[in-house]
Amino acid sequence: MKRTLVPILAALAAVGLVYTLWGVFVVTPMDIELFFSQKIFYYHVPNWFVLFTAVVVAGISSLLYLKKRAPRYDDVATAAAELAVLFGAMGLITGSIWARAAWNAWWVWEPRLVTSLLIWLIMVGYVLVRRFGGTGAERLAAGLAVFGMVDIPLIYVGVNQGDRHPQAKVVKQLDEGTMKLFFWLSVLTYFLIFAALLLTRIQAIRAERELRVIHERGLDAGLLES
Amino acid sequence: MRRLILASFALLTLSTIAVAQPADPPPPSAPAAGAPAAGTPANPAAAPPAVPAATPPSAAPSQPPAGKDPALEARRMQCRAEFASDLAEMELESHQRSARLIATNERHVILAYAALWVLAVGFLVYQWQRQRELDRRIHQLQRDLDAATRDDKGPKGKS
Repeated sequence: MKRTLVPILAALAAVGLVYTLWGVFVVTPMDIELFFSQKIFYYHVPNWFVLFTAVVVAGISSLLYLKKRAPRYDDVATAAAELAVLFGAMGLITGSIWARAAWNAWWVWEPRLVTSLLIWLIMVGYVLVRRFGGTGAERLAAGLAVFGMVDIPLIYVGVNQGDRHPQAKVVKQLDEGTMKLFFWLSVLTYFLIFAALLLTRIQAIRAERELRVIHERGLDAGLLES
Repeated sequence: MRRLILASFALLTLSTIAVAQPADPPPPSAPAAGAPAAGTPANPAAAPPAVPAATPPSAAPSQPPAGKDPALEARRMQCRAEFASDLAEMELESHQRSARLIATNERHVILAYAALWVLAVGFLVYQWQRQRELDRRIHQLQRDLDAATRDDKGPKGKS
């Protein structure tokens, strides 16, 4: 089941991607305020949904790892944090391009953007600590992931501070049935991509860890040279 | 025959240039005013007519400032008044152009979707390379362990 799950998820995600692309550019009407640039919304917002999920997964797994010290939780946290960095980068870049189209500025120091950048930087910090932290970096990184998870409610509060963020307006204007349909379909597609990537990364990280363990055992048994 | 074609082509080109280039308006009463007034449009089609308008524009003061050539000043006032209406038209056109640009803002949408694809493909390629490296290490370890257990002579392989 595990072997077939990833290809099934990837195939479903590919179909969803093609279908939502067609829907976004052919079926959905143009937004009355943001016009054509609103098409960025359909893929920009799902990026953040997935980022939040990845951060929550990393945070909860890290909490479990800190409590039980079972490496499998650490594997899940590491995989989720890497994906949080990827989807966060996508969200920040597409958001910046959309801001240029909607506000005529690449970046605005408003609460939601700043907190989003902060959460992404925390996840980048997590990945860097795991990569270069050496022995004991797992616990430090787990603490960072928990800290990142706490930042998520701040972003939700940040978007409701006034009507400056274009996304707040767009969500209110999603009256058209097809707009809502293709938005939620792209969210679903993004979650399928996330699930496929997460499972793949967990398997790879687990394999790396097991390889390290076998190598150390080989060294201890005198079968291998360091 | 070839020369004839070339000559007719050259003639046609010259006549086209001559037709496209409007005749210079006769100089104003003061020939010293060679430099255009500030704000004069570069487009010759938008240049003021040579003959002054019968009714002076309301924006222009009735009397030119003292110490300057009255004819030149009158001409300048007229130019400004003419330009004001042109400017209004240009502004409207500029707004309409901006509106069209916003309504069909393909540049930013293409940029955003391209960034998404580049990042996704970059991540997949990076992960694929990591996976290959992992496979290589697993095979290396297998070879080392096989060699060590087969010979049973202590440490063998290299990691």
